[in-house]
Amino acid sequence: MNVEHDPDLRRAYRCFDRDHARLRGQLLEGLRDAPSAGMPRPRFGILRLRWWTAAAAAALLLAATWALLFRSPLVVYGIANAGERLSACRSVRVEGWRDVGGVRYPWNVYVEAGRRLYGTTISAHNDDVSTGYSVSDSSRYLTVSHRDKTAVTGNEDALAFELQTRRALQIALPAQLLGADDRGFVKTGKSVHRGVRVDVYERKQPRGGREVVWLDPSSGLPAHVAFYEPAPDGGERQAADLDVTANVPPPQDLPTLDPPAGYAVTRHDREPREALGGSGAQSNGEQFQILLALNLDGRATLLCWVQYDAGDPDAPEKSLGGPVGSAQPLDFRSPDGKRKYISLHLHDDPWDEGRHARWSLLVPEDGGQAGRAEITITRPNGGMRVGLSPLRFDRAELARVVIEAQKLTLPDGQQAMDLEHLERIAQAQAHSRK
Amino acid sequence: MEDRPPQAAGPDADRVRAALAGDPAAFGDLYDRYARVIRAVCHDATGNLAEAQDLSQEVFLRAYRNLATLRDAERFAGWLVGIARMTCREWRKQAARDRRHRRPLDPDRVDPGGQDAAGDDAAEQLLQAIARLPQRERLALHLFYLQERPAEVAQETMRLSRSGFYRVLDRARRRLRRAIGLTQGRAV
Repeated sequence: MNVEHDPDLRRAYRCFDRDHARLRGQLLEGLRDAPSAGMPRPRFGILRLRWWTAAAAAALLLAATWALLFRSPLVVYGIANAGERLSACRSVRVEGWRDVGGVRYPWNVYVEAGRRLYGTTISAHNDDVSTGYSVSDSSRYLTVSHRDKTAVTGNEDALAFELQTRRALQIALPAQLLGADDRGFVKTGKSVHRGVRVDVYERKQPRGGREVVWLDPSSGLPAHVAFYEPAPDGGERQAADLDVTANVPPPQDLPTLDPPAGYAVTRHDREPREALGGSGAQSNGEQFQILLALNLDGRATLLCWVQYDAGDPDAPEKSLGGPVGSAQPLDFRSPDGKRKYISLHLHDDPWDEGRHARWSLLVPEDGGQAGRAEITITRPNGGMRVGLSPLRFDRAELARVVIEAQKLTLPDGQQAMDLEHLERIAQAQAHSRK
Repeated sequence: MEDRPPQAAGPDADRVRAALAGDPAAFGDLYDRYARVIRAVCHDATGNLAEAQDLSQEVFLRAYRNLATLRDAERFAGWLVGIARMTCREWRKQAARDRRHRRPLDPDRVDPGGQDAAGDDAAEQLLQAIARLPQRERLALHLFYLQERPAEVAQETMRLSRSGFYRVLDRARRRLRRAIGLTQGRAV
């Protein structure tokens, strides 16, 4: 190798030309959304240090160095548990489009826990596509349909609204953006999105199509999501393209709570009982519905549920009553089947059409953390599976919601069980298992 | 392999001012001028072309975000190389932490490109030998082989006169020749 007459060196250095055009395009694309280069960063003025200021600065520097060296290694997140991280955010904003029948419709969402909810709606029946939006805060709501030029508005129920925003943040958005879990994602590369370096993950769907997630490795949250589905010509077409930001203030252009001019307006105030209602399943007329599930700081799940036979209105409900804390024959398990929950009876309250809303406490049999669970109900002529994702709250909020939610079903004059009481029941159950 | 695109004429300072005024294409011109050198500087740290490409993107992102803090637009090249060195230091620290903390079968460690260095053994060996040279000599080689006007850029990035630059370059070549000779067990 003759480096004096350097053809080898020139050849070696050519590798730095590789992919230049692609990388350049990628960078400039990323810069489009980055803060302007002309925006100066704030600079601190010159500090005149007195001896105590200098001593304090030195102490701070020492503490920061110690923390840097020994306490806070830089965390780099992968796709694992991205849905859980997203569900822990106080607010999430999604902006982009979804393809329905070959037409791209705007799909925008903004949710802030207990404060604001906005979302565009796209519903399609055959070739008939209807769009609209709904917007609400803790006191009022508005739902608009552009096709019919109609709007429904009224007073919002504070608890119903609070639970609705939590369901959107903790269950609906993570599921819509990242699927039920993170299995099957493969890291395919890196990119730049809105001026931030991101890792790109991809998951192929069993029936064709794929989802691509641009994940910010410093936060572990998705920054961008795209869905692709099989096209009739055998290729694929993009079905959705969504920007995701978390813990951000509401967008400036959020629609107001006033109906658009020229729309027919119907008034309907939200009922407090609309707070209860969630997932469910039915098999041969038998219904099992989860009305509410609250995560009690990981120790247990407070569950409100209804089970009845819709095919035979006269059929008596199964009696699951008994003393408070008595075990019920409900076989809830974690989605992977490894954790079993013991179901404890709390109280059964009169509910719609003579049925009962049942309150139970699910306690992990192994003493581990309570979380997502599901129950499989088998019958001679079928069966059903019902999943639950208990909502999480800060402790002070949780204590309030536990009481307010039970009051929705308790007869007048009966007292709701407070959080400490429920935790004592869960603790007693845990001790009895040891 | 891509042909090098023609680079925009005019001093860096004009491009910097245009970028600050909101013209991203001007920053693209600066990218065309210096991206290869920055990739080479990053490759010295990473030893891997894909990682070097990623890291150099980070360098330019940081440069863009902080462009308003550049006091003397004439000194863009030296400032950029400084950012690259700082980014490489951070990368080394992070890589060391990753080696300590990551499990052997961490799925997040999938290397998408799988491509490495120059793609042939001789070129790769040469780049590795360059990476072991002293910092100034490495940069002199990078500038000479990747810049259109290496001596002028060296004035900004290395604070060297034209003759000083060529002296460092000559020293780098001699040292490289010895290193390659030792590696291959024969004189070159």
